[in-house]
Amino acid sequence: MPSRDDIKVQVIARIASVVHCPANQIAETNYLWQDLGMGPTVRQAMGMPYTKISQSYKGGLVVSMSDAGKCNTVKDSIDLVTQRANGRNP
Amino acid sequence: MKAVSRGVVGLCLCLASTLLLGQTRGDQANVVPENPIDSFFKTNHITLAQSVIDKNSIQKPAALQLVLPSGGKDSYSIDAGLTWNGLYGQWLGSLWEVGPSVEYHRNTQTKTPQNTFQAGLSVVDGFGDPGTVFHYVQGVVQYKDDRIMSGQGVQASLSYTLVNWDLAIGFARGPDVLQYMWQPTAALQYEGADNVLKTGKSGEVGRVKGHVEAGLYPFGKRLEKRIELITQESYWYDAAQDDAYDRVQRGHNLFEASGNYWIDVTQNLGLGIDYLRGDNPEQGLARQETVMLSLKAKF
Repeated sequence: MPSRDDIKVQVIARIASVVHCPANQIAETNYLWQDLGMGPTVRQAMGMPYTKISQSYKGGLVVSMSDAGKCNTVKDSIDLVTQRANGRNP
Repeated sequence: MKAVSRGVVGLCLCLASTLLLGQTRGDQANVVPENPIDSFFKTNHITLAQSVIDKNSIQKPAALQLVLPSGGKDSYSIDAGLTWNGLYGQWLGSLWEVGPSVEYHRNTQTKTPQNTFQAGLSVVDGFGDPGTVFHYVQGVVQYKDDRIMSGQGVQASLSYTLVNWDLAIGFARGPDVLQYMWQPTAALQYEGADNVLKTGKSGEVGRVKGHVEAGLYPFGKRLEKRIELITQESYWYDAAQDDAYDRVQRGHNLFEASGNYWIDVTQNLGLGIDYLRGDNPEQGLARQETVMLSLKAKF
């Protein structure tokens, strides 16, 4: 069962690679759109890397594009992937 | 009119103060208050926007509008679409989701009225890497009841759009003083209807659609992108017309320009002014030119 801290590092790394920004400049309180410039289509597309993180753990579930698109903050994204990686629905 | 305008603004401020109280940015980690309506839409996999057909482009909010037409009576209109995306999965390295959708477009203006209800199924497939290029293919099949333009029938659409960092497609890029983003979409559409242009005759049409939209965000980071200026151009060409559609003009274009101010930081509720010129065969909107002051919502 992955911990939230395990997931947090990976989610921030993935977001950082997508927005071409160093991971140490991304905080949980950052808004994906307002601070990082990730528009609706990009936030939905994050379902793909989030799913890869989630399914790297036994029992990890798919993160849908709609659920990923509804994340407003980095914190929302970490919480969503943590839930899915632990086999829970949002 | 002024009373109605004041009413719209008052309703907006009331909703903002009651639902979104305390939704300011917190400096403490893990403290990002959510409003209950946003949580409801998230938990139940429901999306509210202007239309479900273009939900993968810059998301246009559902709108309750006060219409101020050039040379016509003032009126109200509503543009809203709801989708449920509770069914989803992974297939051959791509993500897919399927869900029912409904949308309603109503304009009570007597000169160019609009009264269209659509309900059907939406399928989205996404593949690629959002860090480089990510592709979306969306299929929509809907029952359409257009009480003004074409009667009852079926509308189907297959569209494609993408995300690309280098081209700023889907990403807000540029200096803080003026950030920008754009999104192109291409689509093929089919429509069959039983009362085309009130002739009492049925017909079928196959359309090719191109759509480009661009957003500008002055002082994007400092103002948290609460102010947005969006222009959109859509063009449909009736590549194949049959029966009653033979009488219909082949080319359709719609230009829209919007200025929005979002009240809350998560951009669920806002006020906007929209300029629109042209027609929209998808939504049964006859050719017109309008300026609209709107209360907007997206979840």
